[in-house]
Amino acid sequence: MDAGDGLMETTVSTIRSPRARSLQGKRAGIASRVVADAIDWGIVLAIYVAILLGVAAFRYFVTNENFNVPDPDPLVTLVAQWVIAILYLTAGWAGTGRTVGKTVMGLRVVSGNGAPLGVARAFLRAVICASLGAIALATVIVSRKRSGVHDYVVRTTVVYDWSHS
Amino acid sequence: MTPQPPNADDGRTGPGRAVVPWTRPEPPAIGVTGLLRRATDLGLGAASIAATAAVDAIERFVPGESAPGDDVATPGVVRLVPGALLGAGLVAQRRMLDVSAQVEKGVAQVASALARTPVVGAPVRVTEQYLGRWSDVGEVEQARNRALVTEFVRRLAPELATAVINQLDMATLTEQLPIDTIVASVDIDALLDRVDVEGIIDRVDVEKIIDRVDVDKIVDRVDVEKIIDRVDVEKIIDRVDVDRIVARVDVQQIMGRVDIAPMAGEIMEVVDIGAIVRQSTGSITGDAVDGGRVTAMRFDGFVDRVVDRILFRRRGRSLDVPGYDPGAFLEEADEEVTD
Repeated sequence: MDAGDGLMETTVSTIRSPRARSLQGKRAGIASRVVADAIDWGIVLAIYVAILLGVAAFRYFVTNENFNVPDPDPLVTLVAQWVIAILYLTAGWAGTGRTVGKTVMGLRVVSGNGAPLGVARAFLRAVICASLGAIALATVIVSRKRSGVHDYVVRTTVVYDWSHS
Repeated sequence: MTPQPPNADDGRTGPGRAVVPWTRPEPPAIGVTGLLRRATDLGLGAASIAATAAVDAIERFVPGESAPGDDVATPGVVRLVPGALLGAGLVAQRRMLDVSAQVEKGVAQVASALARTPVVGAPVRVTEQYLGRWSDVGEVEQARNRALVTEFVRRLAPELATAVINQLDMATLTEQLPIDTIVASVDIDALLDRVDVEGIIDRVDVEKIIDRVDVDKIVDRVDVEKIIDRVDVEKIIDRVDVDRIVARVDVQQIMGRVDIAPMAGEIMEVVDIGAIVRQSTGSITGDAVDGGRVTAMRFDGFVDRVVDRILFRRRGRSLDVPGYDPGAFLEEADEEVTD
C-alpha cells in the first residue's frame, strides 16, 4: 500500500465507528463480501443489459429495423455474463484491488503478504469466482482465515480497507 | 349765466357729498356806486389789516402795555382802536353809498328823460355811445391785465415756494413733526397692496448679487463636522428603500463590465475544488455508506461466532494479515477512541 498510505491517514482518522477503525486491515467476513459480490453481480448484469441495448440501438440506427432488444439463448446469456464478470473482476482486482462492490463495502483484495495482485492472479481469481459463484464464498463461513476457495487457490485475502483509491 | 336749481340727478345729493345750500352770488354792482363800494371795501380792508398789524407791533415791541395773564376777551384800549375805526368806516361807507346810489338813480332818470326828448336826446345818446365804447375798451384792458396778473402769480408761486423751502430748517422741522403719530395712522397693508412686488423682483439683477457673494468665505464659516454630527444616519438609512434601489440596478450591465475570466482564475487558485469534492463525498459516504459497512462488519462477526460455536471452536479466527498493516495510523485512531 505504498500509494494508499497518505490517504489511509485521513480515512482512518475520520472513521467514526471504533469497531470499523479497529478492523481496518483485518480479514473481511462473509456478510460484507456477499453484499460486495451481490453489488458486483448487479453491475455485471447492468453491463450485459447495456450491451443488449447497445446492440438494439445499433441495429435501429444502422439497419431499418424496429428497436428490438435482443433476447439471446440462455446459454449465450450465461456465457456472456461469465465473460463480462471475468473481465470486470480482473480489471478491478488487478488495478486497485477492489471492484465497485468492494469499494462500496470498503474491502480490498490483496495477496497473502498484503501486496497488490498481479493481472494473472487477478484473472485466475476472476475465473474461479465467475465459475463457482456463491459456492466459492461458502468456504469463507467456515475458514479460520475467512478465505474462500479462490483465496486458497490464488493465495489472496480480502481485508477491510476504507481508504480511498 | 343762469344758475341751475339743485337737481336730484346732478350728483349733488349723492352719497358722500354734502349738499351745500346754493346761494345766488350778488351780481357785481355796475356803475359809479358799485365802483365806489369796491374801492371803499378795499380801502377799509387794507386799513383794518394795517391797523391790526400796527397794534400787534406796538404790543410786541412795547412790553408792559398789557399785564401778563391778560385775557383776550378784555383787549386793551389800543386793541379797540382798529375795530372802532373799521366800524366807523363801514357806517360812513354805507351812508356814502346810499347817497351815491340816490344820485346815480337821479342822474339815470334825468339821463333817460333827456334821451327821450327830441332836441337834447341826440347829444345824450352820442355821449352814451361814446362812454360805452370807452367802457368796452376798459373792460378789454381789464381782462388783459387780469390774464397778465394770473400768469404772473402762476409763475411767482413756485419761485416763492422754493424760496420758502430754502429758508426752512428741515432738520428742526422734522424734529418737530410727530412722526410716531403719522406712522401710526399709516395703513401699512394698504401701502403694501399698492407695492408692485413682481415689478421690484423683475428689476432685481440676481446674477449680479450672486456674483458679489463670496461663497468660499461663507463655506469657510460653516462647521461641517457639527452638521454631520446632527445628522441621524440611522434614520436616513431606515428611510432608504434598498429593494427599490436594487430593482433599479442593471445587474446584467454590471456583469457585462466585469471581466469574469481572471477573477475565476484567481478564485480557482485559492480554492482547492478537488479537496472540497473529496470532503463532501467523504462526508456522504461517512454518513450513509459507513453505516452499511459497519452493519456488515457486525454480521461478519456474528456469522463467525455462530459457526465457531457450531463447530465447537475454542480459538477465534485469525483476522490479521501479515504484511498488510496500516500500523501507526490505526494506533492513532485507537488513542482517539480511548480519549
